[in-house]
Amino acid sequence: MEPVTRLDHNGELPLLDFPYIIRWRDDRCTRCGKCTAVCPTKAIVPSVMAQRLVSSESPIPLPNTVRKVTQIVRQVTDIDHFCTGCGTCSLVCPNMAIMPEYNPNAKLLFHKNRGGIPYKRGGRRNDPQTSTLDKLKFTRISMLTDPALDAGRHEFHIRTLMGRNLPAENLPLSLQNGRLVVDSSSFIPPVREIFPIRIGGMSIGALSPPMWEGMAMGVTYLNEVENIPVVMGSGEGGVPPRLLKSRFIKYFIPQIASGYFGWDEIIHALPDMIEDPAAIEIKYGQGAKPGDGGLLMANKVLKLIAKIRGVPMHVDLASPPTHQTKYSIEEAVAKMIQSVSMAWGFRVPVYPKISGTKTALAVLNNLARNPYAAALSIDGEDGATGAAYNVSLDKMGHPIASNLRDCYLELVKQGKQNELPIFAAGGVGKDGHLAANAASLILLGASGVDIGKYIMQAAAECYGDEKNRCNLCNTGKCPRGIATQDPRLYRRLDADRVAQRVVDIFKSAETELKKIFAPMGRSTQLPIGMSDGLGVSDKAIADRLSISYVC
Amino acid sequence: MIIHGTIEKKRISSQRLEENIQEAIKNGNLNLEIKAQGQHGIGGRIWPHENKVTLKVSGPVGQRLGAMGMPGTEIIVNKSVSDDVGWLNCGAKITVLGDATNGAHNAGAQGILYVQGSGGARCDTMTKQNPRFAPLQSWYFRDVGDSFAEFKAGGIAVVCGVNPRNPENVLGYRPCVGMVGGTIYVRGPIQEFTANTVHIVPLEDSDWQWLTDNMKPFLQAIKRTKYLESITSNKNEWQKIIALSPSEKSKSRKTSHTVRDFRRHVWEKEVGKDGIFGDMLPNPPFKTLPYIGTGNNRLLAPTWQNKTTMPPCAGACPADIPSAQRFALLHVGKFKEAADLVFEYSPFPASVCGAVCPNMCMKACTRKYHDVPLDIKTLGRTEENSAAPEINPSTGHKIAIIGAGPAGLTAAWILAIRGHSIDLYEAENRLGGKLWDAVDKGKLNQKTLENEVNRIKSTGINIIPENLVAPRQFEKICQDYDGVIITCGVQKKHGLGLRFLSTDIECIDGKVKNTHSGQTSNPKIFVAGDVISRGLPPHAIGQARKSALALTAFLQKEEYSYTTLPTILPKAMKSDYFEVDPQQIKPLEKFFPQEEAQRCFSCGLCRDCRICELSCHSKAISRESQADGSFKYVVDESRCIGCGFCAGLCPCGIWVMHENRQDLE
Repeated sequence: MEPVTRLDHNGELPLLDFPYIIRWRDDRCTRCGKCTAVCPTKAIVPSVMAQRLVSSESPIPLPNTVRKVTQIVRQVTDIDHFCTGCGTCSLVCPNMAIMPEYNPNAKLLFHKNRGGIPYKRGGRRNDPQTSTLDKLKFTRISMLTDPALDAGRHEFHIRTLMGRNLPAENLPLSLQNGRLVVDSSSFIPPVREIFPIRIGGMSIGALSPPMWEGMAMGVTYLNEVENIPVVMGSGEGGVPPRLLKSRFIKYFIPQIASGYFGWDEIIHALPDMIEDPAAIEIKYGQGAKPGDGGLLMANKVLKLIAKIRGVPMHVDLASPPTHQTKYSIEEAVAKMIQSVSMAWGFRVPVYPKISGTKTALAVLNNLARNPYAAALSIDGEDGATGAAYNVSLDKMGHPIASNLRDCYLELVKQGKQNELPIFAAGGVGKDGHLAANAASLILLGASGVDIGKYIMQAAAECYGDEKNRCNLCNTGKCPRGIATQDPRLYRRLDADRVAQRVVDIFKSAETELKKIFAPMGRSTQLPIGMSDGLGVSDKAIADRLSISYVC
Repeated sequence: MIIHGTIEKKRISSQRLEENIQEAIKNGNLNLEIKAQGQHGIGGRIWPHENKVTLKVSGPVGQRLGAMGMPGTEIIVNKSVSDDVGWLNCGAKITVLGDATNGAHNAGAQGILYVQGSGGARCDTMTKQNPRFAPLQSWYFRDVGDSFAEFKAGGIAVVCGVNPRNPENVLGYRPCVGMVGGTIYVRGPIQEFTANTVHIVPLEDSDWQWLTDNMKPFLQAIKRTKYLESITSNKNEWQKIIALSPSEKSKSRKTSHTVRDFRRHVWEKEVGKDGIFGDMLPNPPFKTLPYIGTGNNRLLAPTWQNKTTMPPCAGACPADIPSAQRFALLHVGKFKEAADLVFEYSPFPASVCGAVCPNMCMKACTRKYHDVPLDIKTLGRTEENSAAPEINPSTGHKIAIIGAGPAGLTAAWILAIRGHSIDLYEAENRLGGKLWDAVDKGKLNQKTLENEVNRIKSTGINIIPENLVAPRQFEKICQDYDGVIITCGVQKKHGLGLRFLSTDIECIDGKVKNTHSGQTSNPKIFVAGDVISRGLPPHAIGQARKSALALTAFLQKEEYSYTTLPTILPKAMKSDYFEVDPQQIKPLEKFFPQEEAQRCFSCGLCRDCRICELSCHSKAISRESQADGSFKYVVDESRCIGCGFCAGLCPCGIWVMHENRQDLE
């Protein structure tokens, strides 16, 4: 009888088809089982290996056979348990005996649709190429032509305005008896002075409690101790009532999105709020998955999330792609901005966030006409997400650089570039160049930028990268405890350390921004739209962004 | 000698004045009086060697007076000077009887600067310290302007703070940025300084000694001796500023621990104890867990699932014969127990298993994926002459069985062993029913069948041959016996064999209606075998056993339930432990059951090999002996990390890892 399982390999994949191949060293392994205990996808399992060795130790052929069966750690070749290369195995291995190795020959997308279910994941677009932002250089260095500044010595004011900044002649001010009088019956748009790098909206739910609270504590520390006014978006998952009712809420931007999760709690908290939030963000789109709604997978909807969001446990929480009571741009944006402004007595800047798109200009023009619109936030295709279809992540969306540039130049055309701030996001700090990417966007016309993935990578050692490493955010199995609601996993994450790292990151980003702006001669005013400071060695990019071509 | 900066009412160039001064000194004029007219760099770059040159400067001076000054040069200016006095000073002594404006002593390395008034912005910046020479001294009688001592690397600056122009801050705005060396003695209020580069330290006695010793010549030079008493009367009026050492600097740069303190003292104070989720989370929120957890914190947990699945051989057998268990007994030499085990299921191990049956057990055997399946057929043949098991004491129940084919004989055998009294009605005069067809076809040795039938007879059943049960007799049987099992083969209700059936037994489409255990609408009457549906002898044997057990339960007024377990999947077993050994079916005389038993993978049946216990790195697994001689393996959850080595290494698929989700609500 033939051993059939050895002959018929239908549907079985060779290791070479897998995106990461486990390099396991028999000679180093102590068989402690830590790697297999932590593997989030069960891509490695303990197993046995039989060896039958024939040896001859005599001067003539006198063969002897030795049979040996030993324990090994084996990589499974089941596509549902593919190794995502997170490397937690190597993190816990006491002997440096195991390590996933990236395999550029992998054919994951050919196979990861078993059962007719397309591949879903977290993270951002998998594109290891240098992004447009990283191709830009700062080519205008002041030395003698105008005062060069010293980043270490001069006083800098790296701040931006979040909110509509009316030109002086439009402000309801008048001179009466030699004194400036404010016409209190007129609306003066609320404006906040903030640090130009914000933490973008990532929800409680997408993120674990210690990750969210760690970031929140770091942001508060930056404001209260370091005097760096960083603000943080809530994402669409509500805001804990304890935070809503604290004076720290002024450093946060609650988000309202098409799922309206957690908004009843926010409204209930209104009478008890002692401070206004920094702003309110109305989410219409997300750069990572434009045109797709929010999605929190059931395996992350546990008790806490059900409570904060006001939903049953263990259900997939999908937000519709659009706000359901939306009939036209004019009507929808206007009424959303009105209602939310009204909730805080028109004291809070309210702005929409859209995904990068060719239609961004239409939204911008609409906002330019709406006196209550505080800003526009655009999230480009390199933004990350907690859960999306791979096809949305990889192929949908608009790069941020040209989208932002078009919008800024349109404002310039209308003479409103100093009035309506644009915040840009999506791929800021993708390769670690946080301050440089932020400065590039500012020089292209952004009043500020949002970061998301970067803060997870830098503050909580998120493994994710452009080679699809880990990206398990959607599964609830985040091995770092960042994007999970499983207490066994999220309790791995130290909120205090996250806070500390957030502080480190913004302090160093501030210094780096000074290092960029000082040689350009800017210290007190953010060089928004100062595009003559930029150059790029790609002619097409230079032409498209209206910046200098340098080589 | 007087050197004029204006000749014939015309200002001469800085270059010409410099040349005139150098010329005069070359000619031996060591005391010069310069009447300047805004010329640049007066008095610098004079190399008097062993001599001393004194320059008394009056009139408006230009920038960089005394720039690159050398030892032996003394410059006295009778009024205020312009920017950068003493720039890159390398040893000149410069006295300014007025104010020094911006950048005094910028990049100075040696020499002395005495200033009667105040310094402007950026004084004493970039000053150096060369160990070959005495340190630079800069003395300011009043105060200094903004950005004082930026990037200072050496030298001593003294700011006396007398009648300061800014009475609130004698060191100006943001002094000491980037300062890495040197000393500043300052008297008077300071508003701020760059705390990440410098710090204030108390004056040592040696500092005070130096300051008071050198104050006298300074005050004499600037003609302010009457202030000596008030300036040097109180050491406590003075502060000393020095640069932080690199290690002190790196310490001040880090904010470690402060965020944790911030959380405790500010954050939790404002948002509530245990943070913003403190009122919603069951776990202490700021206490972390290790990546490798035990107990409830494991991601996976193992269970020892011995005999919770069917081995494929048993799962495939229509008669449920547990071949793997037989091999387990044979493996340890328990031949009698192995025989008794098969006899619990079938009286025909040799005739059916060993001859007639197509042996689904062997077709399912996991070992077939490795080499060849276990030889269960020949194993059956070894039991041809084994003795019947012990008969239980009589129960007193009388049971009639109608038909002595494989089903009837099996039912009779099983019930007889259980102590019931059996009457077996058979229409023909030989027992075995359709097994005789196999004899006729040469598939079954007649002697084998006779031996096994004789073993059945040895249980004491009463055989009533050549008795075709008629309807009236059936009615009487129903009355006389406690239970009846009808096993008369393939029949239709109105066919030959079943004509006797009373009308109170329900039929559907000519077939007797019965439950899965063969019970008819009359609860004490059962059917089994081909009466129900045509099958192979093993099917008849399996069905008859169920009916026999169900009838026994009925007689004891118990509930009978027939449960099957799921069959274990072949991949659960680790064939790697077994050497590939493709043996062919052996003749009976060369077949040794104990040897064959070695080949059994023992699917789903713990072989007690202790591999799990030995391989458990955390020593969480132990073997427990039970009072009845059995054993089990148990897990200490406080040690187990859920690594899965037990499951991954178990040869028999007993250890199963499952998601450890109990703590997830």
